[in-house]
Amino acid sequence: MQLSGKASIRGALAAITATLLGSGAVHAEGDNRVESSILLYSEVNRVQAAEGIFSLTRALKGARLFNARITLDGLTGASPNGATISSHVQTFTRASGSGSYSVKPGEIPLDNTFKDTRYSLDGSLTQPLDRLTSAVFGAHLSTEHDYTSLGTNIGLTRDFNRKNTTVSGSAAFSHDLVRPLGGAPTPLTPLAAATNDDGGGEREGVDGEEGRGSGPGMGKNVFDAVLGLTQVLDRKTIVRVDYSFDHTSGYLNDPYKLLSVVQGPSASDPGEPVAYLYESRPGSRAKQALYAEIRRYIGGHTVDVSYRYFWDDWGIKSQTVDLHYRLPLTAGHALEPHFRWYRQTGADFYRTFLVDGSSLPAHASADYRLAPFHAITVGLQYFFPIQQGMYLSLGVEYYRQAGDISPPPSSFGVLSRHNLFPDMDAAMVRLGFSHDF
Amino acid sequence: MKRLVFFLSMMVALLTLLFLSGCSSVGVQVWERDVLSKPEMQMDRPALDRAIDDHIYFSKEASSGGRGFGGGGCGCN
Amino acid sequence: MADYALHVRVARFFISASLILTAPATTIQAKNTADSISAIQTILPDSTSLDGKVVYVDFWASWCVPCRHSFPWMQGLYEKYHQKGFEIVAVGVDKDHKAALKFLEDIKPAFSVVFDSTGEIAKRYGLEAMPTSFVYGRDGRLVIQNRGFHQEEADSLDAIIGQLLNKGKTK
Repeated sequence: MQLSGKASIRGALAAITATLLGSGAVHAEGDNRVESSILLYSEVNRVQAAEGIFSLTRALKGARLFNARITLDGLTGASPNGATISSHVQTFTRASGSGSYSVKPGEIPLDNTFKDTRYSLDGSLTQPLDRLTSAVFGAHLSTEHDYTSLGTNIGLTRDFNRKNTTVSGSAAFSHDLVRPLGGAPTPLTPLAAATNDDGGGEREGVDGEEGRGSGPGMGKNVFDAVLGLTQVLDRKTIVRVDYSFDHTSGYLNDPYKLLSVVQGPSASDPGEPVAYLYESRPGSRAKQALYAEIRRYIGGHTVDVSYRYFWDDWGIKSQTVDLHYRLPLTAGHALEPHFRWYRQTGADFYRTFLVDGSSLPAHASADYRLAPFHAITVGLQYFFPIQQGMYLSLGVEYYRQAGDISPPPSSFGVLSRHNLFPDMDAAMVRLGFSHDF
Repeated sequence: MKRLVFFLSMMVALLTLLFLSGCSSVGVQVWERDVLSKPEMQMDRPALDRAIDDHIYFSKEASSGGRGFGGGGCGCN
Repeated sequence: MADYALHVRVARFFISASLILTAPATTIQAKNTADSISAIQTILPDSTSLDGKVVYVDFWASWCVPCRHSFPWMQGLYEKYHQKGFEIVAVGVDKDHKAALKFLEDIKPAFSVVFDSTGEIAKRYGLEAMPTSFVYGRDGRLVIQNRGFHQEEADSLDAIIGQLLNKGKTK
């Protein structure tokens, strides 16, 4: 799901991750399972999204497991386009080239011109090789109006020490195709001023129909690998450690994001935009993460704590702490509060803005998701059993992002008077259903 | 950067070694997996909740990945 | 870069060494216990009740999902062969006795069930998997040990038991 503007590029990667991380590689425990989940996501004055997932796991002959998962996403609303706040009205041309939108003074510019729907399908087969080893093979397809992704994954798990230790490894490969609305813009070239007619910027390709990606597709290759170790510590404790690696190459720009070029501190109107440029990111990205999780059963309650350290070759480093606490209530009901803390540094080429007159860097992006910020999530989930092996769950969560950039020590003029990071508040509601049969 | 990667891979190899040989006594007997079999003790579940979390945070943050799969549970068959 | 090559070689050595070290180590003692029917006979109320019978000893637990499948199959086996001198002893290792009783309530087996909540019997048998079953011939010696329960293996077990029962009859 892409929860921010037209950055559907990221949405597909999320799906790959999902394929790698569990669609079919569950240890062949129970037999068949149906799972379904609906998410309603709403940011204050920004993006609204809904997602539905349906998953079916079926036991086949020879202790094999087959899993199929369908995901549907819909989103609408507004997302920061990367430009900075100004004391004057700002006008931007729409990505499709037809028409423009305006932003009031003192507001972070949001691009509210999109609606998007994504469909994706995942399938996987788990095949036991012997009593202690099993392999998993999977495939993935996802499509949105301007994005298609096709991928495959393979995994292996092996048990040791009377199944107290499990080593797992998996690799996934996918090829993604972006066909941005209005064609892919040339990076670091100006967005043309809005006119009444087409108002198009410098874009490759021919303007397509409204709502349809046009111009030649821009490809991207993604390779993911995960190595994991799960260890039973005692009758009530289990721990896992994972290392993951991801390499993406190809078209990684967000074709809908901009950077403001602002007047310098000694100009007539310091900090005010004189032009907008399309962003530019490197053609490849290598990500790595180390993850550790421990789950313990304490007198009927279950506590789960996890920590992830992430780093990539774009200069971003992040830390994530996630805590879940499950409190059983009467008759099989349970309440599970959870808390997540996240902090990231910015990408090397992240720039809140560019200054008019200074030389252009090789790469620059004002996408807030590449900026330094921290975020917290607090949530509560309620589980109610319907019968043996069947339950419903309802969860509410609050997610808040707050920037660590503003005001940058180097800001001036209008920029020093505002919070330049688009702080965000979001509420989520989840409804889940699971049935073993 | 390369040195860091190698160092970390050595650490992972060492951890693997530790768990596989040095700590082969760590864990439980096959008949003591009652608690580990409970649904709430399965790290991979609820799978859809984890998938949704991954989607959300992947779309709104710069980080991704980390979690693997497998292990734990009743260890039957 | 010479450093790197050494690192990789050392890591590879350690990983192969640890894989060898963790090759299943059979406890000689446990093997001896499982070899003969006498070990299980000592815990039964009538220690001679299994003499001259073909016996299927099964270790189960309420939390073991494959056990839920094996019990109806064992029940079928019992009804089919009991008259010919076939016995089943199902050893339950549940620490939670209520859970074990509930499991039996759902299935209502006609064969003998024994409880081993401390896991002592399981330990003596050196179990490496749940469930594990042992098939003994009429002479009280171990014929086959089966780890886990799979429907595909169940049919061949059925055939083996049938053969063992006929062997006794021709004497």
